[in-house]
Amino acid sequence: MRFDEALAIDTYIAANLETIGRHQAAVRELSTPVIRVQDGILLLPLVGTIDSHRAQQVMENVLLRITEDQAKCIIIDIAGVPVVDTKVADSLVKTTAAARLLGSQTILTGISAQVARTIIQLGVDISTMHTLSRLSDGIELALSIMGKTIAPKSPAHSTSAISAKQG
Amino acid sequence: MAGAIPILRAGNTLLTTVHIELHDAIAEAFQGDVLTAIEKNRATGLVIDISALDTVDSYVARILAETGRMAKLMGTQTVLVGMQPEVAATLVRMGFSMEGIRTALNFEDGLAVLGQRLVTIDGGR
Repeated sequence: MRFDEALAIDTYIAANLETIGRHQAAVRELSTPVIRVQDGILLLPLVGTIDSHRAQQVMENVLLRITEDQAKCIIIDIAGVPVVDTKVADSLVKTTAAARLLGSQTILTGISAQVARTIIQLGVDISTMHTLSRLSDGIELALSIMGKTIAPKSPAHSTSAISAKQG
Repeated sequence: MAGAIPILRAGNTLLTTVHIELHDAIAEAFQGDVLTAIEKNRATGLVIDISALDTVDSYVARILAETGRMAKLMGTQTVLVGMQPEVAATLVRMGFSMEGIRTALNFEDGLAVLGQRLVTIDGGR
């Protein structure tokens, strides 16, 4: 092989590797968004497969945000996670334990029938966290932990709002 | 080494902020000071603030958990408050999840866990 050919190949490979690295960083950034639902309530929607690297990143992110926002509750929604194996379950349990050390409670939502079946069949103990099937139930539970509740507006209130708009 | 970590009293509650690394002599003295203070003040609650600690090794974690259990034997509830996120992650990875010790985000929440509340002059929070 001639020298200039080797140089061209090397440059090509280096450029490719750099692109892959950039993409991985972008995916990592996008993969663990922690959303503030309300004062003291955080939501972490997990989408896609979770490997050990991502699990660790999730934990670090969650803990940092709990301290930053002084959040009493963190809701982890796993509706978008296709497979929950022992590793994923273990990382969730670890995150819960660490959140508890900070003084915060974890609520796990979005548990499908299939996931519930696997967790029990694998024999994973996730009794340390509150578990619910729907995210809306999780938000209600978090609010009740904060001493709040979702209530319908009173009829008088809503009519006055409409008349104010018209007037 | 006794008195290296001050312990404050507010009503039935004791507050202590661990601001230096608890090692050997200091840890022993700290435990002794806390238990003596509980005995002397007949405290019902103890808040240990560790927000100033950036690292907590297994020894310190054991001392803190032990102190909590000792206080419980004397009828005092212990709340550990203000742990740093890195500390929590490390402790859990080491397999130290401090079961049996109550935790809270900050001093105010710690008092709430103990069933007490800060009262300000205007009566609000």
